Order: sequence, then C-alpha cells, then structure tokens
Amino acid sequence: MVNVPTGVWIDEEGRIVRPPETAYSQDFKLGNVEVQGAAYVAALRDWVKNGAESKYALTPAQLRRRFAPRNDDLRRADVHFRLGALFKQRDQTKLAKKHWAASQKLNPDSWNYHRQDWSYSPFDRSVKFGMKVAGLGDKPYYPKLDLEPPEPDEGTEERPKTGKKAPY
Amino acid sequence: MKRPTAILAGALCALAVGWPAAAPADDAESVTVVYGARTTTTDAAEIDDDGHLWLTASALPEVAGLELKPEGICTDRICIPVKRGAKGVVRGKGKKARVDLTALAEQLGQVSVAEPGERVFGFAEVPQVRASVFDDAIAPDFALEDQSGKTVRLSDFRGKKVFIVTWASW
Repeated sequence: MVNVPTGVWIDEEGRIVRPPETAYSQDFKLGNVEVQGAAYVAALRDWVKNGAESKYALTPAQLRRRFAPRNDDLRRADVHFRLGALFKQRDQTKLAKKHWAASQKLNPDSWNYHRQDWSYSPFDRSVKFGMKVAGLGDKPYYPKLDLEPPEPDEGTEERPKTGKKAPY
Repeated sequence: MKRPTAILAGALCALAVGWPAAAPADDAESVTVVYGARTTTTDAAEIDDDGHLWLTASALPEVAGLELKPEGICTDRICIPVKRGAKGVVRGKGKKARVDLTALAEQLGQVSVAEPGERVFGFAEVPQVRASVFDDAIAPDFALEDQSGKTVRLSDFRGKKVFIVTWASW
C-alpha cells in the first residue's frame, strides 16, 4: 500500500481476493490524478452479491501475479517508516525525520511515506506535495484500475471454495 | 503521550497490541521492538555487547508473533529450524530459553534496523512468511485499536466478507 485510499477484499475464509487498489467511490479527474471510483464500487457490489463466483474475485495464482516483487529496499523502507512513526509519537522529531527520510529514499514511490512526514507542516503538506505531484509529468498519480477479468489460469487451478481456511 | 495532529489510519501506522499509552523511553531496562506490524515495549529483552537483541522465548509471541517449539521458530503457517546452544540463535531451555532476534534475522534474510542508543530495534516482515501468503492467499491476522481503544483483529470478522480501506486525514 503506497497511497490512500487503498482497498483490499478478503473473503469469509480469510482469503485475499483482490490486492491493494485505489478505492474511491466516485470518478474524478484533476490533472494527472484520475480515478475510476464508480467502476470500483460496482465491482465491489458484484463481489458482495456473488462472492467467489464474482468475476472480480481473484484466485491465489491470479492474485500472485498482481503483486509487485518486494525486495530488501522496500522491506527496509517499511521498517524505517515504522521507526519514524514511533519516534514521532515520542516527540523525538530528529530521529523521526531521519528514519522517514530513509524510508522515502528507499521507496520513493510511496506517497504514504512522504505525506505522513509532510502532514505536520502546512507548507510541506501543500507545497512539497504539489511539487512531487508536478514532478510526475505524464505519469499517473494513481495506477489505472484494472478490473478486467484475468485470463484463465494455466493448469487446472480452481477458485478455492471451502478448502483451506485461515489458521486463526 | 502526545499524538500527532495528522492521523494515518488503517494498516499503515499499525498500533499493534501492546503499544504503550505512555512512552517508557526513560526506562533504561525496557526495549522497544518493532517487528513487522507489531510494536512492543518489553522488559523481556536485553542487548548484548555485540548489539544483538535477545528476547525471552516466552515473550516471542507477544513481541514478534513467533513461538519457539521443538521444531524451531514457528508462526501460525511455518516453522523454521534454528541452531541451539552456546553459539546458536536459541540459548537456554524451558523458561530460561532466549532468542537472539538479530541473529535470527540474519539467518532468515530479514531486514533489521536498530537504534541501540534508544533501545529501539526494528525488524521487517519475515520473508518466508510473506512468501507463504501467496500459496493460499490467506491474509495474515493483525490487530489495531479502534477509536475507543478496543483491540480489533481481522480474525474477528471471520465468516464475513471484509473490505479494508486505508485512508489518511491528509
């Protein structure tokens, strides 16, 4: 999850059926910020109604293909971010800044790492955010939503129904 | 403890079970461990001369969501064999068993970041645990506090469809 709002769908058996995706309830477009909220809500409603039979519910193999690889830089960025949050909670601002800067350097694509850091200053919140958005150029602020049903999986994997359940 | 004026809700700033209401940073004996999405301040840890973090086996579940068993260090999904004894990741037995979380991280290829002067240690997700999620897509359980301070777990919603949305006041 690198931006907000982000939605994840989990079924009755604790299984993730859609990965983190931009989750707005309405469409809008402002510069290079564009979201397809109406389609997302329609897909969500379809899953609520149809469950595992919904074309929007992904199998584990389909889900796996939707996740980007996670390397040590991203893992380290996550730890630094959490340490930054801890030190901010303790009013240890210098340490918080240090760790948040590290997280932003290791994962520059995470808007969350930047925006949480900027949120304590009106200048940072508006100007720095605006500058980073402007720096995107033609790149979208949010990834385009991909609700197209995936191609049938290779092999014979079927969507799990009442098989393995969450261990909790 | 002063709360930040801007709030990052949801899984991004996970307030794991045990996040103290008052920061015990002035308690020289306690150590704060950020382990994946958990943050715990504990007296059950010590830092050795090499800067390694040692934790009592009994505190492993609360601090790291792990459990020491005969077959190794285990989550609810997998068990990882570990070396025991004088030069091992685990030393002592029974109630005296202790785990070198720093050495364990090295063995697992787990990222760790420390501020030993602050008695704060951070550990990323265990790579093998994350990888196992993609076998069956079962979401790892996690806990957060709601606005009234009550602990809420993902597993509380078992049997229902769950739609998690993260947002922020910024």
